[in-house]
Amino acid sequence: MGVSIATLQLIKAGEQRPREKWRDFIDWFNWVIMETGLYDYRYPVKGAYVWRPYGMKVRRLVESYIRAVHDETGHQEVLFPVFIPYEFLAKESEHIRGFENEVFWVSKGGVGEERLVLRPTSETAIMPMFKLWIKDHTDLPFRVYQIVSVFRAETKATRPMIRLREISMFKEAHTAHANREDAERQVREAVEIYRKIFDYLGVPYLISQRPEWDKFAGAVYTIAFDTIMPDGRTMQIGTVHYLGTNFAKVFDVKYLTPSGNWEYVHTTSYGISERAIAAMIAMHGDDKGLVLPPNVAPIQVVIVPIMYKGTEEAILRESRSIKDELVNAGFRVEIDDRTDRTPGWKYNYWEMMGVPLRIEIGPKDVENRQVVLARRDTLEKYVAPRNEIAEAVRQVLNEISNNLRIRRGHSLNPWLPE
Amino acid sequence: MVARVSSIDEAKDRLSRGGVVEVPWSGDNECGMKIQQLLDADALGIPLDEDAGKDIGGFRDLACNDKQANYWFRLARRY
Repeated sequence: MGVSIATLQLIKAGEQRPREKWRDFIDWFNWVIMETGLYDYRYPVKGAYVWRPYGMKVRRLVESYIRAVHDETGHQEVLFPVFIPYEFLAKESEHIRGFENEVFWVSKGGVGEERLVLRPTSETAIMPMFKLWIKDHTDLPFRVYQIVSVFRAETKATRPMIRLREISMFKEAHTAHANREDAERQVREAVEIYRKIFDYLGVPYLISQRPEWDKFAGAVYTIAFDTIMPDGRTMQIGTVHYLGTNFAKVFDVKYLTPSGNWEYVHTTSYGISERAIAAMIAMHGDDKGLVLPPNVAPIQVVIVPIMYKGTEEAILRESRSIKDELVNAGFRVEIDDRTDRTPGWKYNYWEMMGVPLRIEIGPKDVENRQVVLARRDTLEKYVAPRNEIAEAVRQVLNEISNNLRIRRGHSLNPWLPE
Repeated sequence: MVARVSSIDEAKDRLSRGGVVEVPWSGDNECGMKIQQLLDADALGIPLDEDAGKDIGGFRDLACNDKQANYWFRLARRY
């Protein structure tokens, strides 16, 4: 524990991050998700896109945090069918009025006459099962969630990861409660869960109660999280709905009270999607590319060996030993030992990929038993002693996480012109 | 980047530079929809992360001048 970031020797001061292209947000965003191999918008169906391997790795890390915070707060994961019978979707009159113009129909399935739709959201899939599962007051509160695709026939222009016809990472939670009071307690808890998720991703947000004319179709009220994108437009990144007994009544979901009466459950639902990832990319990036918070970076540390003739062996050996040490300490680490690329090219490449920390090792560093650490967020460089590498990396990654999170504390989007 | 403003011109000017404005609102739905039209912006709603009625005393609804304002009302250009 002899090392802290304050004791590391700073050898290159931070720079102002270039953010000219970034402000032209949609062009920048489409460039960065394609160029880094996160996502591909060339799929031949409007509003439906492909997550590529690097993107899936980020997504898995985000999803596992989302799962963890739901699991630890009494939610149980389920997986419902994508099909909903049309008559179920249509049961709650406000709900169907809000959704019918954007529902995808299954127009044919063999030769039968079934009228099925692809779920636009799952309240009407879940309620008929709640009716079977919830018997009496000891079953309440009842909380489930799933992370699935939902389908909406958007009439507005679609945008990669932001406005989709297939939302492929819809985390929807559905809960049932004995009374309004407990359901509203759940609404407040859901807001806290979403705060945690956006804080984890370093995404700033406003929390507002939507006006009557813009609440979720079938809700008593809707609370929404919005963030501000680099171009000054806002984006809705999460919603929490108190549904009252609107769905319970039409699906006849009742429970037996301790005094022996049958009463309707009060329900809530709340959702977030891949927009959380889009917002995270937007918030931290710059003209060089992505900046990923260490907790969701598939590669947290990249080691770039600087090889001169005659020293290749020694430098690669040192790189591998550092990698092993860092992997053992629990970090996600790669060595870029490509021989057909220069170190300068690799620096630019890994900066574009958003890797939070780069380690540079040249012959002089091996000799002096040291390494150079280069931060993606501030573009600063430090020298760290080789024998305390794991602790130095831990300190610097913590500092990067804090820096990405603290900035959101200053103001909602400090990069927007005042 | 939330600006509290009480005139239509100021609100429009802030919105044209991006971000969120908060303007005085009575709470009446028709007036709220009129505010959206006046500012050519979308309503985000009433703040829940701060006191929605803080220092609102004395302000009139931005669209319905005959009504007293009760809340700050958030609007923005939305994705």
